[in-house]
Amino acid sequence: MFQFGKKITDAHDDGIWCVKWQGDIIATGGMGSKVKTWHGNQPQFLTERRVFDKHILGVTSLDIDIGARYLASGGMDGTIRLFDLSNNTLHKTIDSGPLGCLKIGFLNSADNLVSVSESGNISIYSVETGEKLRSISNTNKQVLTMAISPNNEQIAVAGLDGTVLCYDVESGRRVTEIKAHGVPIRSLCFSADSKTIFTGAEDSQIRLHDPNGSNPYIASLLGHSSFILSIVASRNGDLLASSGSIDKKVCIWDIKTRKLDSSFTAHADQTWDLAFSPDSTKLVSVSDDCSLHSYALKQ
Amino acid sequence: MDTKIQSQFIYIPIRGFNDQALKIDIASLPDSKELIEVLKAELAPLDLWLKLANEYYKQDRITDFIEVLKQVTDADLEQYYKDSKLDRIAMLNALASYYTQLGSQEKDKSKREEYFQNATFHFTKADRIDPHQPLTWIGKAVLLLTKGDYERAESNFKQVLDLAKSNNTLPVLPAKLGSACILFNQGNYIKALDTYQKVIQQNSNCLPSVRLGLGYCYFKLGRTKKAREAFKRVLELDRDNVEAMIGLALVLMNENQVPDAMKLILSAYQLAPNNSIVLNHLANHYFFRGEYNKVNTLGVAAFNNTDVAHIKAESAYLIGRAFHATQRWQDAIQYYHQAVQKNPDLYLAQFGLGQIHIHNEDYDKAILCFEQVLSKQPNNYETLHILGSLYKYGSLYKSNVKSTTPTSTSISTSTSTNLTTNGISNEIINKIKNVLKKATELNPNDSSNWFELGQVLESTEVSAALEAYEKGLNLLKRDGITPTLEIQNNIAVLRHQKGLLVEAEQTYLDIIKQSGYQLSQFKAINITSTYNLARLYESMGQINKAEELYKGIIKEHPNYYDCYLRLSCICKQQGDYYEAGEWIREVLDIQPDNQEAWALYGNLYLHKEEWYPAQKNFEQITENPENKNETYASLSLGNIYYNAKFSNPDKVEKYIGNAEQFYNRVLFKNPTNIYAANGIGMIIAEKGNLNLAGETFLQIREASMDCIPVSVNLAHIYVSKGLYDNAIKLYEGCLKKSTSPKEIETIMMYLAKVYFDANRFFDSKQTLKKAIHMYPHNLAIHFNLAISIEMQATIFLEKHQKNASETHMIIKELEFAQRLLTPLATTKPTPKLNFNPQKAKSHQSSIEKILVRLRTEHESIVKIEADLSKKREAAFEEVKRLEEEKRIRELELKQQLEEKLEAERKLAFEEEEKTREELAKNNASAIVDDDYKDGEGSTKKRKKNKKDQQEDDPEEHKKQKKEKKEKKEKKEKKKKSKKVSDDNEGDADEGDAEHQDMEEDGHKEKKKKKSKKDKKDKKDKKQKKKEKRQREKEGQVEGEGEDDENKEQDEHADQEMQDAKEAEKQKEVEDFFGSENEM
Repeated sequence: MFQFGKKITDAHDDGIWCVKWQGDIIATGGMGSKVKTWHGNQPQFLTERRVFDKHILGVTSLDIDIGARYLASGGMDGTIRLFDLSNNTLHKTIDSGPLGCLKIGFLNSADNLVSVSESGNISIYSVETGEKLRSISNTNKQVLTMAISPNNEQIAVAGLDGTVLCYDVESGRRVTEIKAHGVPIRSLCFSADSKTIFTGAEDSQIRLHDPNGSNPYIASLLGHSSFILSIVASRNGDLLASSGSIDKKVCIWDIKTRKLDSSFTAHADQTWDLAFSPDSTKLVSVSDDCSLHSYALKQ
Repeated sequence: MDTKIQSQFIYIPIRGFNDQALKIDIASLPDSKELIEVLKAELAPLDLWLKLANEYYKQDRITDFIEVLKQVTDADLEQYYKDSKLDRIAMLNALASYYTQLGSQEKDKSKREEYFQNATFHFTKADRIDPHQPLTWIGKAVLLLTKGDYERAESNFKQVLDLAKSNNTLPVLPAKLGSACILFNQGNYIKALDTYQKVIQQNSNCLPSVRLGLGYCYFKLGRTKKAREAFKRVLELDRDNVEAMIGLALVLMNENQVPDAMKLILSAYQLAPNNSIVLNHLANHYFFRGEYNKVNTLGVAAFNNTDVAHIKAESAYLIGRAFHATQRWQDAIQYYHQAVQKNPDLYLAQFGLGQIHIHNEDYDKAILCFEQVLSKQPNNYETLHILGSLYKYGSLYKSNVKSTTPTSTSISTSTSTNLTTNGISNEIINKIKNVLKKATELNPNDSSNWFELGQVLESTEVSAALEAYEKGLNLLKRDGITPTLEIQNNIAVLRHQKGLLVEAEQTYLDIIKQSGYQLSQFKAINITSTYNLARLYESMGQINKAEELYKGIIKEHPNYYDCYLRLSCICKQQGDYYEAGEWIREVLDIQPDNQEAWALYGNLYLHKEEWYPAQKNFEQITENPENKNETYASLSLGNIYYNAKFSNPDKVEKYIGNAEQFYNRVLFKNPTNIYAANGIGMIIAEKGNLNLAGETFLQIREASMDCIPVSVNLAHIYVSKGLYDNAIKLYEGCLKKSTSPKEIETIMMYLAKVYFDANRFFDSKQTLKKAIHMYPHNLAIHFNLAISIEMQATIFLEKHQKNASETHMIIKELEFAQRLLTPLATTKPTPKLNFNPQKAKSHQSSIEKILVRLRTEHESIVKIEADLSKKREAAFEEVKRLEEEKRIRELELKQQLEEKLEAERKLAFEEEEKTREELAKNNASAIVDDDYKDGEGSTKKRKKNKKDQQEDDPEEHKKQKKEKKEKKEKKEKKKKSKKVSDDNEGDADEGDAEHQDMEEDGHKEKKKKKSKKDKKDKKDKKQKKKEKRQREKEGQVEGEGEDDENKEQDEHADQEMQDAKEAEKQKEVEDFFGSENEM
């Protein structure tokens, strides 16, 4: 069971759309152009570290590499900013076209950066040089979400048509296509062992899929009453957290039993993103209500 | 009336002979005429008259009795006996009382009325003689009592009793009996009993009838033993007292000694064959023996022999019951009706009536009857039970589904009827609920009640319904009975509705298991449960399982078309419209007029936005007005026609007319339909009557706050009226309430649009940003965002104060807008496209123009700012240099000072030494030598220290100097700036950077004006304007840029650990340079 922890109201001036947690750094970004980092460890937990104000319009997606060396933020205008977290300076700027970096993520630790556009083009950039290495074309699918498997082997994208497409990173070939939902898929993530794909869709359902099975569908988790904007799996493989739009809920699920572990309705608006702490004992959520909430495992 | 005459003779004194009298034998009274003559002749005292009359009465010589008493009204007699008022009153009263009695016994209405009138006449006469005579009051009270006017009778009795308290001679007894009787009739048995008891205590040998009252009181109070004693005592005193017999019989019956009771009734019957109560009892008796004919005759006899309403009612009820038992429904109704009419409190008759109404399937009337019964007997379990099930068949309940009230097209009426019908249906449901809840409270062990309650609550309160069902289920389980599959099925459905999906699944599986067949056999017996299970799997997201089940059901039961429709819905949900259509077509193959299938088919086409086929399908349904899907179809058709106006601008009027027709059609059938009312509102708005449309939407909204389309329409109206704030509020409210992603998407766009219309481009942009983040694929949002950015930039362009970073931001945003528009402009126009590529193109070029202008402006701003910052840096350097100099100077000063001091000290030391030397010279010894050495050592040390100080000092000196210098400079600067600026600038605060900026702006503008004047003559207008603008901008931007730069430098300064004062000084310097630059 989780319990409600800290609440930072007005963490940003506008709605917050994305959050990531690596090491002791939590990063947030949203409709306002600012990206902020926060302390992830006690005693300064959730106090502001740094503000990066390099974007125009909003920040749709961000990621921190596993070693917490770089912070990448993708703006609505299509520019990706890479910040060096060791000295908090701008490392590189990448232009990916308008809405070209709907979702971004680091691949192979901090070597590469993956970015997927609204029209489903997956591009891979070098973090070092900021240059585009290659792109994986995606037959013009309208994409809403992207996930990179923890073993760095696959990239999965999903969107309006309710199907999940998995690409092999190395070959760039499509390896799996899962007809996961009948409605747009809003969020997507891999399990810690990269063997299961979780999808959250506009039908308020979270579904579990086995990308390698002949019948990929495993189960559904029901508990939300509006579409699911974010799902994240904890790194220890036990928990899955999900957040809803209109129902404003944050739910934490036990993956093994497929049962609801805890649920919170603390946000006043749709809850866009979630992040587990690296040790899986804490969770943070961000919302259009401009606040940042934390939840902690009950001891 | 009950005066007793002791003597056997009455003596009439002979007039004139005092001691002689006429002796009259009571036993053989002469004819009244003779007697009256004698009495008149002898002028006998009036009390004698009364005595004689009494004797006549006792001997049943009623005519003689009346004749004698009548004389009192004779005028002569009246004259003669004028003074013996009391006697005259007594006689009048006696006569009146007699008539009262006659009246009470008379059955013929007109005759009775006559008697009562006679009685009243005589009483009034008595009153006229003396209005305060208690005897008359008692008589009148008795009259009132027999006439049934209890209230006035009671007040009369009371008056008498009040008087009796002060006057012992008054006849209290009749008054007391009278009031006891009234108390009894009012149902106040305890008080009545009390009064009777007192009367009996006071007159132990009173009439047996007093004890009768006592007995009835006891009986009513349920003290049957005492009652029996009382009745028996009456019978001991008066063997033939019929009422006592009836009373005793009642007591016996209550104690289940029916044969004894019947014996009594029979003997009572023999004594009084016309006593209705006796007859009723007999009838009742025969009813139970099944001799309905006898019941009938006896009942009719009883009915005709009484005037007392409730006895008549009883008789009618008995007759009705006999007919009811012999299934002569019509006759039974008639008599029950009579019974109820005569005595509305006779709930047994109501009950019977209700039963017959049920038999005739006249449920509404039956409900009324049983409600009556319930109001009399609120805890009657049987009634509750019946009523509970009855409500469901009543028309009120059905009207919940269907309402038939016709209405005009006006919305206001429709909304109001909507409320009332809703009210009624809610009321009836509440009624049912209350009845059933009470029934379950009274008898919590009857499972059927719980199930009934569950059924009623099903539609409204899922949780409560489930609870009721589960209670019933537990009861059945306790008794070892397996509940019917239907009940189990209902429970499962409720669990499903409540979200207890796993439990519901288990229940369904149990049901199928209990039926003895496998799930996969799809036997008819579980088909509903199997279907429900499939629906459950659908909600559980296990679509595959659901599909499997549906297909299995279809295999075994090809006519179970619900499965086809569900399969179609599944396909539709998964976006497979073709397959969805195929499934529906299969249903239509089996059942070509399956309206549900047609409706779904139409809906499918609507979803695909293929209006024409959708229209065709819905028309199929509307052809049959009896159809329950007709409303939906008509509504959809209305919507289709309404939407058609967008695609075909030539036929707008025709389409609107058609749409209106359909909306009206729905409203006519179902005036509560909010969507149809909304449609009408839309059409009113379309026809241009915005006020009426707004009014309409407001009214609909009042009826149903949560109907989002109505609120959105209202907001549209506000937008077209220019009431942007209201519209914004409404849209935002809708956004909060909406649960449909599609709806939210459109409302967000509306909101952005209204912000745009209200010239709040920033808010518009923010809203669109939000919308894009939510719906990144909606190209119309891209388009709108681009336009919002463009508009914001246009506004910005007109702005006087610009700074580099802001301009840069706007340029960046514009570039983004440009990039957003690029793909849009090249999109091929299709009817479904929600933006205009041509417009995108034109906006692209207009943005380009803005961009060009802004870029050049930006360049110049940047240049100016760069120059500024350079100058600022130079100024900063200068300040630094000056400071350094000052410091050095100060240090030097200090050093000089130190040197001076040192020199003085040295001088002093030397003097000391000199004196010492002189001293030493005077006393030359070794010790002094030593001393000298020591002293020199210490001075050396001191010297060293001084040297150190001297090394530090120059810097301090410089500092001081510098500070001084700076102060000087400051003053100079101030002077200069004062010269430049206006008078009002004089008292400007040094620290307030903003203030200074503003001031600067002020004088800059003045300068501009000057320049304008200069150029006026030389250059043509256009050029002038251009230049002026540019100048303006340059000037303004400069001002702003400066401020910003200052701030940046402030930060810088902070980092370099310089204190705030220095920063201020810098500013001053920079300000100075800034204005210099202008010059």
